[in-house]
Amino acid sequence: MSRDLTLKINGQTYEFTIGRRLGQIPESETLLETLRERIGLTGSKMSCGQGACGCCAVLMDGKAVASCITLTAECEGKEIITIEGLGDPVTGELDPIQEAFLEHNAFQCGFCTPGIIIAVKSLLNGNPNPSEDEIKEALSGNYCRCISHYQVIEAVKSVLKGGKTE
Amino acid sequence: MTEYRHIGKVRRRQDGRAIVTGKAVYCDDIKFKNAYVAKVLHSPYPHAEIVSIDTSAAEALSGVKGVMTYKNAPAWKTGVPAHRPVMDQHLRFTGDPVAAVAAVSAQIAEEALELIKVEYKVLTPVFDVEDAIKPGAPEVYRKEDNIESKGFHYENNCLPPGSWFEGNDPPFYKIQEGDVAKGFAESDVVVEGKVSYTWTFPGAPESPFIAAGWDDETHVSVWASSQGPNMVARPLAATIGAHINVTTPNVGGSYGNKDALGYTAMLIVALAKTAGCTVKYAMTKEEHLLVYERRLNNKFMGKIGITKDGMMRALQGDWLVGTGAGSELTQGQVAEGLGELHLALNKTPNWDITAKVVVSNMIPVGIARGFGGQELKACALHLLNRALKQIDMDPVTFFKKNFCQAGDQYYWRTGHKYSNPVINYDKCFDVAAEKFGWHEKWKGWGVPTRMEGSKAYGVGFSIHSSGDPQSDETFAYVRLENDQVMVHCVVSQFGNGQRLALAKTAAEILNVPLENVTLNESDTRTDPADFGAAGSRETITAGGAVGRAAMAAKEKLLEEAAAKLGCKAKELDTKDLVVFKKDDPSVSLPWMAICPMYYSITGQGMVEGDFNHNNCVMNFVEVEVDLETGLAKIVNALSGSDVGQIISPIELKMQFEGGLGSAGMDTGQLEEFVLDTNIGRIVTHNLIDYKWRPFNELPNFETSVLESRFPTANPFGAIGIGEITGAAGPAAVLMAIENAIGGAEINEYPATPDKILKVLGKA
Repeated sequence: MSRDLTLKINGQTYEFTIGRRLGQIPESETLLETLRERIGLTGSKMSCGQGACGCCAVLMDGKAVASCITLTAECEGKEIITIEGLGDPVTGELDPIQEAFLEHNAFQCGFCTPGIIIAVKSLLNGNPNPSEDEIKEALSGNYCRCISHYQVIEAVKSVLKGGKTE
Repeated sequence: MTEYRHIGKVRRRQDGRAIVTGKAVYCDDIKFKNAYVAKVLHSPYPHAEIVSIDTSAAEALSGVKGVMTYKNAPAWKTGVPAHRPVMDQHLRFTGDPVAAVAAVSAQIAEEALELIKVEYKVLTPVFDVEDAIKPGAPEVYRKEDNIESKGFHYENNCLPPGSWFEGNDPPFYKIQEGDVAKGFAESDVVVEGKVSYTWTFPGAPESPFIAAGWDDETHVSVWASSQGPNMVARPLAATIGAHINVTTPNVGGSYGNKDALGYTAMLIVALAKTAGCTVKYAMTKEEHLLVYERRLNNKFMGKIGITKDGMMRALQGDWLVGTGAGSELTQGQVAEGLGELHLALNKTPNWDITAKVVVSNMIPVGIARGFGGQELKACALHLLNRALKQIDMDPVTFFKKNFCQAGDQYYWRTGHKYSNPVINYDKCFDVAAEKFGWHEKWKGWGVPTRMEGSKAYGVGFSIHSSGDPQSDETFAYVRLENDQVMVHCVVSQFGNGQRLALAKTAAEILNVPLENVTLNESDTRTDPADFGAAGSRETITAGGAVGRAAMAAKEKLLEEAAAKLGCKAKELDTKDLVVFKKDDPSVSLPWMAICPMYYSITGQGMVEGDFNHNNCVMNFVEVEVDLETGLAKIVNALSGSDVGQIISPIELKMQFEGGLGSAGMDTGQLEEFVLDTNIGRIVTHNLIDYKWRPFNELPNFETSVLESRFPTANPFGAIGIGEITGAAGPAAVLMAIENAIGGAEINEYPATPDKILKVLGKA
């Protein structure tokens, strides 16, 4: 048995079929595998594989999800944005969050950075003016082993316009 | 102080845009042409023998290219000295590879593993270092394994002490000088005890990755998630008798731990040979936690004597260094650990300390930042606290008296003594203590700084110093072509900002915009030799080599311009890609006229290593302990140093902050592996159970940085500190916790709630 699956990723439409034959997406395939191995979007990273570290975060209908524990077969009709899709596809202009991360050198090895930027985007989509505590809480599902946390928080604060003071 | 154009200034990392847009390429992002996927069958037992193994069904599975077991694996050995085979009938820890499969997909490789039939004979394991050296303990290796180095032989679960570090010198595994009996007799206070610092996971977010393929009989191409490509290539090449070329794309964190990847690289190069194809092996996070190299597991049993005016008189002890089922470079960590203790307690006249490298049925030990000294000092300096309490002297005052000063001699890894006539950290103690508010917060040993309800606060301090910052050789060359500066120095991007520092160094010396500098990708095919990023050495060694190469290129550029302009090179200078006469800038030539379209001007540079340049980081911490729950948290931290010259201010600050994580400071109270001794397997083998510091648990963090322009081989007088920013942390944290809880003694790291409640009599 196979069925059709339409994915909308970074504004583009991809048509697949779900099934066990060569080239089809098995029911067990994760969204992270589909993004990295079928579509070549390798900006989302595989780390813990259990939804604990945030390295694989992508936006699904505007909210951050762990793509390593999300099944592709369940993404029908969802709008997915990865780190590669945050900037303007025409002008190449970066999202203000990406620009702020550059401005503040808010990364070291950079492996967790795409997931952190996605989590910040998800936060600001729902709460354009978070407090510092709200920023920290929203990022508590993103691990960063190099400890770039302090610069990340500075970067996020710089993005906020008229952000609340503590 | 000299005003620089780039050095000391905030500059964006050249690879920053790729990182924030997801375009930066890490090993597993590469599509390897015709590569097969490797998966490994791991031993389910901590100690066993393979009675029989049948791989026929796995080999017959469609899509399987090859299966390797001890029966067909090459007879190579890795480790120091060579002891760990590619695969063995004798399995030495839970996770020891039993078989490896190369298949067209991960799914088929995993399916093949399930088809392998193995019959095991289970043997009695040994885990604890003290148990392992008792007579009659289970033998992790055997006499017939013939492990030998410089006349020292494997015996009673102890590996020979030596490593290739010492060249022709005898192994450095003990410090015996003066007369400890006399030293103890002269002491006003003598304390004795045992402290243990347990194994932790320095692990990076990106799990270890190796891809390998044999180009022909004598050439192997390897892609490695490594901070030190030559550390992957050179020792393994010597082992297997083939030339190895290593490419290191972006590395997703290392912390010293993804340096040589010695065993993993050997395993995959062997599988590529037996299967006859290119294979790629991306460890899962579970494998990373269950089987990959970790930090030393160690105990110090010792005796320390001091005078009442706070001077060290004698130190005696046995350092049991647990290296699990294998040593990647543990003997080197012993040598450097002894050196680091000697730097910290440099004024001690009488020493008798001996290390033993002990194997057990635990996960093998590899390289990790802090490299021996973090582990030894976490124990030995904690024991010292008992003596300082008796003389009622605070640790900052004590270490300022006893720490190595300019002109003092210290042991380093060869077993010889080294010294620097200029480098001195005296002023750092005062400036950093003042900024932290140490003297206001210090209320005495076992006295909390303050109480708030059930929360008790306490402060701690410790210090770390290493002789590695100018160690070993680095070569570089710089090409000037058209309007570009091309830098070749095999430095990986793994988070420390070193590649930015090198680009700035070349840009500063050639006086060009940073945008005109291209740093070659880290690849041993095109970059000259280098020991690799380790021991904070690249600031001086790579910085020095690139600086000298840029200066050499500049000299040639000016000579060639002088010939064209009909003057002498010394009359010329260059700025912004134009060479001009110093006394008449209107006489000038653009670089394009000197090195036009298809023309290269090349300068070479190198730094020959020495051990006469010691760095230093001081960790001040304040902790909060909930006396009801036993939960301890770092609430304030300050790291202090003198870095000679700041190259990149934000990256430097982040290196200090990085001392919190990656099995640094947080091993004082948070990070811990839990071993189930019934099954010999760690139970904290995922990122839910092995706790890291999250965003909502950040202490207030400050730095105190001096710039004394040290006489190093770095062109600007800088010295690196990245490796050691958290190395003194655990000792400082445990001291602070004991002070917060009123002085109850904890002698095992980390100070988790159960241990704190136990010493408080509440559990």
